[in-house]
Amino acid sequence: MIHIENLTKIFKKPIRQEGVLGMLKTLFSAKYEEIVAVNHINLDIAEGEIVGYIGSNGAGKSTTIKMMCGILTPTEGKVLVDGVEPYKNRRKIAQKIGVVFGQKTQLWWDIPLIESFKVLKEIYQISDADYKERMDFLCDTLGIREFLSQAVRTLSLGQRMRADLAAAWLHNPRILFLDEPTIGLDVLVKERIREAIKVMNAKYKTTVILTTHDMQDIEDLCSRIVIIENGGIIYDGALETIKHRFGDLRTVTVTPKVEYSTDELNTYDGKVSYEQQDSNLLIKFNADDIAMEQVVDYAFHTLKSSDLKVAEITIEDVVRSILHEKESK
Amino acid sequence: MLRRYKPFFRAGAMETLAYKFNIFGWLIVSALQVLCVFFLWIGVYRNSPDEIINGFTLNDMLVYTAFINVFNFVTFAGDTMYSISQDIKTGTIAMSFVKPISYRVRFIFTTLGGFSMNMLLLGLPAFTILYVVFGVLGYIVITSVWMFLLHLLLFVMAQLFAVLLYDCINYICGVLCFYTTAAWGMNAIKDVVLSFLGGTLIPLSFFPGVFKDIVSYSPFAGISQNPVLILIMKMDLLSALKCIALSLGWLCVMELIAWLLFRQASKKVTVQGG
Amino acid sequence: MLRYIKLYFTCIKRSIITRLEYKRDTFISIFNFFLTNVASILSIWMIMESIPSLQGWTMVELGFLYGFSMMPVALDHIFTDDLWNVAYWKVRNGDLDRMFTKPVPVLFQVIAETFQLEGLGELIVGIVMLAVCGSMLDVTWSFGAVFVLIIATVFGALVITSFKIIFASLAFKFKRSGQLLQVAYNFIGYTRYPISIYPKFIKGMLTFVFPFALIISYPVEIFLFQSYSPYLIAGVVVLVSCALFAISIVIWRALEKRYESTGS
Repeated sequence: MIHIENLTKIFKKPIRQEGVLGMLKTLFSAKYEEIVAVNHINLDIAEGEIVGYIGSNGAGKSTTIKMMCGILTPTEGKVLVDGVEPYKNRRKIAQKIGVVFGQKTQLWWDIPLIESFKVLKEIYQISDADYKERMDFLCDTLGIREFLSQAVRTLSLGQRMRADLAAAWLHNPRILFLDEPTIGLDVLVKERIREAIKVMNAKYKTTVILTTHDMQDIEDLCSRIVIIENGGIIYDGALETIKHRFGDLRTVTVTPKVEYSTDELNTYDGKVSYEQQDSNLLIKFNADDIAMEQVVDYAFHTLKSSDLKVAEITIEDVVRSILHEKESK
Repeated sequence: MLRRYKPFFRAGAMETLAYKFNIFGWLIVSALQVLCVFFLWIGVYRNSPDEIINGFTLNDMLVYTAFINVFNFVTFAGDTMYSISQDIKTGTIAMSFVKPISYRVRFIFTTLGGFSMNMLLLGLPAFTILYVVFGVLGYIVITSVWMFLLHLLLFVMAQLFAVLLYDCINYICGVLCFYTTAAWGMNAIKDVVLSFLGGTLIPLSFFPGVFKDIVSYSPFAGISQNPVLILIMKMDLLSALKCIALSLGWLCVMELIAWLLFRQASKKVTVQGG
Repeated sequence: MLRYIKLYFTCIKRSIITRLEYKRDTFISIFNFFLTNVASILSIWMIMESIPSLQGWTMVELGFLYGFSMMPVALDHIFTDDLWNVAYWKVRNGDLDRMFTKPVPVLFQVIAETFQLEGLGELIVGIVMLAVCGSMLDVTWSFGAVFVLIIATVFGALVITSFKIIFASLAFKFKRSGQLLQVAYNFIGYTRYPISIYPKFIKGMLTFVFPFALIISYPVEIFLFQSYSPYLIAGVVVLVSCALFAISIVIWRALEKRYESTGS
């Protein structure tokens, strides 16, 4: 469905020099520095897949997605979406894709939601029958029926997100790009959106490319993840593999009641590391190497902590570990 | 205390530079426009039986036209109104309530940054060139160097108040965007009022009877016309001082209005929950 | 083609709903139009008060000229107002991303974004000024003259729109071209005085470079002084406007490719 080959995007950015004199200089002879946002990446995505596209801010995620949508033209290499280069055939590809940017709505702010859908119906030339069928389905799955007549600006963030998803799915796109669809939402709404994405992906066989910072999003939805960092792909494969590649990493957060210094704590021969965060103590370890009871026991009895939180590995931890691994090689 | 606003001053200057890359295109088209106005006035004076119309000779009028166009551009610095309307639209304005810096003062410094850059890039060179050209042509007569320097000093003061007044009006218009989404319309109205009542379209002495007095005491006169009249020495020192005092007075009044308005409008935010 | 007409009407309906929803905005828009015209007319009047006549033109004749110039301006205003937003803000904000992911030309979406109802008011005021000043001047409304008026209104609007497209598309390169567009647009204002007061250079500029004299000054002189053949002027206006429009589309398309949305 999507084929990416040697894709590179270089932005030219004027070099800002320090001080007033420097700024004046740039006005007359602007020098540019090149910023490589995406660096020779290769990627293939099959029809119907839900792929998690992950990386820190500025890693090149949005740039890649914008090239896949046809908004940006690559500096080098090519993208084929359903056999077509999007930036050369923007309008043709637009018919086949749907886009949701979590931060920015695609809907018209001031008019009732249903009117936005009517405009989209015309834009994508959706037949009356398809429109009705899909509206019914989307309304039920996403639960947007009750606020169809409200203006978009009066909707809550969660409602708006669901409406945006419906708008992106209305023309039955082959590929859907979701840029942080769950950002800023509460747990219940997040779950509802994930559920809807699963149902719709199953029904319409839509290929979904999803960026997120939420590990739960990925665990629930994605069979495959692609991690990009500094413009290059550093991992492409199943989520399970990467999660256990570094073992079953856990972080236990406790609030010790005794005076301590992180240097004097028991590291169990280097199997446990400590990190101080405000009044909390983060205890990091690999559950394959050391039994959880041992750590918890130590936290409760020796450190006299009153409460305790266990967390699995986060996306940021995974990325950090991979980068660390590459460096040490 | 004011040190923490320094970054905003810099940001204003940088911003101005960043978006003035099309300054050369703008300069050419504007110069053509000023030329049109020149010939319009030449036509008007050719049709007049008197050499002086409302206190202006043709030469005065040409000098006035040239300077007011340059300094309008310099004065109309900063994007205060746009930034506020954008903050309101995106809801980031709520953040300003918790930051330890004043929302108002922040914009003053950003605008001053842009203003300094405009002055440096356009104001100073244009002033020098125009003064030399008009001086050589005899359109501006400098009787004594001291008088010239005094006028220059007063001009600098008047110009500073002009930009502060402008920013305050911009701020007020921005805060009014709490009540409307027609930021573009507000902006256009502001531009029209400023250019008509500020004396850019025609000098305020053309206004009939009592209107002339009304408009010359309005804050708009202090933004466009008065600084230029001081600079080209069409205004004596005493009147110049009066004008500057008037601007200062207006500035206090307008800032008070701006403060009250913002206080009122920000209640809307807390009620709506952003 | 039919598809676009249908789509256009759907978008227009959307725009009008928005308008009606925000009564305060509509009021501001009308007030803006009112102030802009009052300020320009008062300026012309105050100048005319200080001299007996301008190059043989009286205030009433200038009023007729003003009314005439309002017609194409109003028509353009009704249909293409969002180009201003593109020039000032929308490129810089990345607000156009939305349009770039739709299977419809971006320029079409921009034009279909707004329908300024209040522009109709502007059109009516223009017609009233033409009628009142016309009757005071005993203008003969011959077939040729009315024909020119209609052509100048419709195709004159096309000329103005083309200029707006060209200057707005510069925003794709410079991120913001609002001020530049404003300055270019202001040239329309200089055709609200008799073109005979300008020297050849300016006349040439207003005829060939910013051809606003072509759509305003010359047609008006047909009414007032029967200076030119109405059909000749009408023909030239049609030709020039279509050529300009074609050029503007080419420029827009070329620069549109440079659109780079904000952020990473």
